[in-house]
Amino acid sequence: MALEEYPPPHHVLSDLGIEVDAPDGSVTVARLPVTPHLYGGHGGVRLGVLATLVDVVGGAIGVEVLAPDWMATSDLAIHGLRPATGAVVEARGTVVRRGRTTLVVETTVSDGTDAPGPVAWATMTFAVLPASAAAGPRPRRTDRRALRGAGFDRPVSEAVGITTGEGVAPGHGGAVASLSVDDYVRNSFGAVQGGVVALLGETAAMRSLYLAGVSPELAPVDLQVTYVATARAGPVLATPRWSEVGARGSSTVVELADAGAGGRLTSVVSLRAERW
Amino acid sequence: MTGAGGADGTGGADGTGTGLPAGALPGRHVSEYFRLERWEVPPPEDAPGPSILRGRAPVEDHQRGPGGGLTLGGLLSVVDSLGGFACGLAVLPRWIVSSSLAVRMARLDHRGPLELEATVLRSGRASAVCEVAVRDRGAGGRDVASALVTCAALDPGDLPLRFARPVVVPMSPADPSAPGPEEFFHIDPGTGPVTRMQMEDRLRNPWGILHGGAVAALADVAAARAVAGVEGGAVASADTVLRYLAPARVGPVEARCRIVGARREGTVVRVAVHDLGAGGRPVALASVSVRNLGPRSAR
Repeated sequence: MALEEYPPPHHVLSDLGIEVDAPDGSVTVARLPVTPHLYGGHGGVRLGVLATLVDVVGGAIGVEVLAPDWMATSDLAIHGLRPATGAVVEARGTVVRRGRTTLVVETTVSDGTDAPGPVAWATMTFAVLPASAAAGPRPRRTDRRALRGAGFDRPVSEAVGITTGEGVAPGHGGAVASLSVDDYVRNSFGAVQGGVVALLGETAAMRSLYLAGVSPELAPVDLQVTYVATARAGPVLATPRWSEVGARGSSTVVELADAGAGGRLTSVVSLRAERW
Repeated sequence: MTGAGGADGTGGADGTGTGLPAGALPGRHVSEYFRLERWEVPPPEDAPGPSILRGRAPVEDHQRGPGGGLTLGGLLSVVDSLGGFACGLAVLPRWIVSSSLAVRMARLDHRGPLELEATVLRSGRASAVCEVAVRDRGAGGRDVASALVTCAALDPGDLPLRFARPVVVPMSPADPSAPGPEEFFHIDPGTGPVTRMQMEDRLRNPWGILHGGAVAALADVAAARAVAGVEGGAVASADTVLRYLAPARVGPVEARCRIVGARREGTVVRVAVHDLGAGGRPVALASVSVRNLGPRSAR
């Protein structure tokens, strides 16, 4: 899919209705209209959705800053600071460091309510892919963009193809969530979009903690995704590999593997859950 | 190449364990301070792949932090050393510098000794990613932390990389007169949002730049001081994501903290580390979750 055509109208980023702008050249802003289908069970927009918004901001910055080179997301860490309850959430991203091989971006997310402080803060690292080693030089995209899709008629995790419970990958014992892969969730490289990976990781991690007996009152507050390889074929299976249940919060780590690519490890996601 | 951390690639106390010439790697003192023992477990012949690297570190009383176990900076130091070494072995004949560390803490009150296992998840021409599991041998193998180390691979230049394989780095002898971590890492006494570290040769890694573990130790102390200065009470740094932006070569090095949000169970701190001797150049950015150790707040 050519960059100029990405994302197509029928795509998760289009259905999220994200608007991206770079008002003064030093900051990139993305706004997300909040609908009930973006909420989790803890009184605010899901952390995985905020991670998707952060990923879009980071990608927009990378496209602008790194042209004509390309980039791949290495990792994303987001810290929820309070529930996001406003009608619109806004992510503002800036460059921390542009090196020869990496780009580091930090993003602050606010929700426009009277509550003090941001709702989340995030950092992410991109690996720079030289144009000669990738798919040739890539043009800059400096235009303001408003993505308009049909929206969601069901919870966002269902809409992107995430399954939990009995429907998860029969024959793949241990997986607690899975993602079907099609063009609706692929990025311009043909791999699963980074924010969707975060959403799958969040879903799987919370499912894992639920199965471990953790109180459902615990909300995901920190999410960290390390991208090891691209997920292209699917289904992507999420399997817990580590967890700790504590009195004041619980943590878990899940691995995501591409079952359609021989079970190749694609990402490692760690999550911290606490009471708000 | 922007990475600034790094496995110290030591040869143990005298360099003999790895075939490295004694004194070739001046950064070895960080691993010696934490008495990190390391040994390589090669893959089976019928399943080629990167080696697993295992490690063991006693938790000395003078190295314990407010949570009761090894300080976060100490834990990150041993994770960086072991994980970086595993990544380095996986990319030979190139070598590595750490580009990021991320740790999710299970327990702050571990007894020790700690057992560590580093597994390379991916290695390529330009980078490697390693997972490090940390367990408390003194508490029946209970989980202490899960960490990820990301490294950039680069041409080692003149760095001597003559390893006797499998690599074995013995535990250095105990030093009853060893100082606490803040003194060892030359972190200036102080309070509040700004904390400074003096650059000493023993804190440099094989590339001659500030060891990644030293940067982690500074971020740990600085974040805790920043929160204690505002909220008071007992706090301890816990979950951390540390990104190395550029090498710190000159010093002193300064950590500037900003509290980005406070939650019921702790505070999220942004820590920006700068090399003052290099015009204030940014060298690292960290997010540190500082946990309250006292009774729950009524927030």
